[in-house]
Amino acid sequence: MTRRLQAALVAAIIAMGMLVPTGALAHAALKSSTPAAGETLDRLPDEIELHFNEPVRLIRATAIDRNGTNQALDADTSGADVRLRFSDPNIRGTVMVSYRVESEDGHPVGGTLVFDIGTPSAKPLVAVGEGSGLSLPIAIWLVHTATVLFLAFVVGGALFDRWLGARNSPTASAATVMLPGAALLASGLYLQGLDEQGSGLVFAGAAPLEIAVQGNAAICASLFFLSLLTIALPLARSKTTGRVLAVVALMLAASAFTFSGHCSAADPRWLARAAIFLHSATLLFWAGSLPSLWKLGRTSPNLRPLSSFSRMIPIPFLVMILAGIVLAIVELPALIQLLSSLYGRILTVKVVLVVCLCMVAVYNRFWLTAPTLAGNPVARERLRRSIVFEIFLAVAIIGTAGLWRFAGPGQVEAAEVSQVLSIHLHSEKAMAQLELGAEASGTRKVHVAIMGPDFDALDPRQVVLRLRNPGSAIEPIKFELTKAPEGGWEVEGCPVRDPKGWLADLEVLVDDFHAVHLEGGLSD
Amino acid sequence: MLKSMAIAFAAAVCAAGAASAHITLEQSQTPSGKAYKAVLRVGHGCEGKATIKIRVKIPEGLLSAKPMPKSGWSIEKVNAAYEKSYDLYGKPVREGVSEIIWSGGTLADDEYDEFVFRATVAKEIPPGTRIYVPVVQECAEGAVERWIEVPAAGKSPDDYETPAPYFDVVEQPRS
Repeated sequence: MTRRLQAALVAAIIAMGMLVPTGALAHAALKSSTPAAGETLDRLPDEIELHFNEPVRLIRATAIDRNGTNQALDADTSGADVRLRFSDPNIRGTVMVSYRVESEDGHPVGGTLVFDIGTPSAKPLVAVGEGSGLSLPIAIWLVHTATVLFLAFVVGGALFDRWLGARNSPTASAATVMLPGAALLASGLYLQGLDEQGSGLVFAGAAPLEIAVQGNAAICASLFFLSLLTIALPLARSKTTGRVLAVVALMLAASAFTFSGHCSAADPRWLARAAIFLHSATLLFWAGSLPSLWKLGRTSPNLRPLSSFSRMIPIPFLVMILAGIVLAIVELPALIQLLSSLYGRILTVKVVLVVCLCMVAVYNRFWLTAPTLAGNPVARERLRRSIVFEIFLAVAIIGTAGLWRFAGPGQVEAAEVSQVLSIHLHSEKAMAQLELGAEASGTRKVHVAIMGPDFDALDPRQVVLRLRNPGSAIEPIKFELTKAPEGGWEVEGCPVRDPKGWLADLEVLVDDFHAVHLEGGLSD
Repeated sequence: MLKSMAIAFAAAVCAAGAASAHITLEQSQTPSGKAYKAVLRVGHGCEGKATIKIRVKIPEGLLSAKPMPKSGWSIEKVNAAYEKSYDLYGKPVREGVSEIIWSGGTLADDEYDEFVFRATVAKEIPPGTRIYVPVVQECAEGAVERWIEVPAAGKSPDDYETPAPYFDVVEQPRS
């Protein structure tokens, strides 16, 4: 036999040995841990120990505390044991330690250990991305508020000037509209991308933009951009086309709002979207008119625009408020819970501000406008001061509405607004109704009803629920459910508050040798 | 030459047997219509506890299953009707052993053992079929491991914590 043939044979035998038994190689499994899952400790131990059934290599380990802060853990691995240390030892409340290890067969396996330090968190864990803090939400809010105000003053202002304004009112140059507009829209998109990426307020190259352009935020920003562009067109300088283009710009901007926010996803969708369209169009027009009105009172002896504005403003104002009421009703499932949710509190503040605004507007309209038009200088000065106050209120209202970005009923507050989260899962062999109810401690109690594929009774031997949140790097948390006295299966202490991003895998042991998996997302 | 082949063989065997944490079948494939010797390899107990019982579900299409007696363990066989009738050497068979149970012995967590049965793969099973053999491993203190997960469409046994051991039915080799 030649040397080459000999070498080939040797290689072939090794290859066969490697290929054939792939199924025989195994995953690592967690045998035990200190602290054990669900344990309550007085203080954070120096080390968290994980014991596996075979040697592993740690890929990643993170801890998420009750504030949703994600910290990476220092780790030591020796054979089948992994020891993890916290960099910040002052953790209290419920802690989730999420790990991912590679077992000898090269397959990564992950899991999550949940335990409590002191008492379980009253404020429950929120699954958020790594490194999040307050700075990103504040930046998002500032940019959002600035964008809406800028749009109102440019688009709404143009509509006022071209339809009601003095013929010779100066039009803004293309650069003063497009440059700040593009900067605001681009930074808004970048921040949105950072938020979706979950990376906090950092510079992260072009990646956040790439993420953001895939979502609704990009449609929204493009419509805003088109709207600004319509105003900035040289064509818009002529009288008639200018008027038409100002209306087109307002409609573009208003339709952009229907692609953003929680309202656009509320049911019935057509009603919510129509209301958003009307609400934002009238808001943009009204808020945009204010600076022009103020300027009018300062310089121009021609008060004709003021009289036209005062004649027609009740109609859009009414539309704005009616559409706002429709939105509030569509969005808020139960008005009783107005004050118990962040959404409701923001709404309350906004309503108070709107009431103030209405009073100022009525005062202007019925007490000041007529004397001003008659040439009374005292009334004119009062009207100007009160318009400044109106502008201040408009900024406050837009700023308050911007806070909804962080408190939509579809998001975090779902747990508070609708107390029970109900999910239906099914496969060919079984179906399940999962109900996640809120507990006083802030965690959730899971109740599962299991049926056969035709709603027939199914009495499983065992039910195991695995919850994971890939977006927040939370590996599966395993819960063994127990039979509930009133029927069905249940478990307490499930640390899911915001259902967004959580995936459930319900393993139902039908009989000794048959298990069925029912899978689905909690926020679907 | 012989020596280097022996080293290669040893290396291949070690690569195969290094981490048998699951219960697996030694032979990963067998021809359709022939007898299959199923060697179940039990590499560990349930979370550290000793194994005291092995229950094997004989899947549909494996005919006339016969366990190999094992010293220290008693054997129980459960008979049941098959889902359909199979042709075994010209005779139709409609029922047979559907479950084999080894009990009465003790296999410590840090020891290894094999449980063997033999069965005929029905001719009706087409090559390319993957046959899963669900096994329930019962241990001391009521602990149980169920190696019964059959992958859903689009998933592999690696996606499960406790996959059922399996083998593939292949074309009869031409002789």
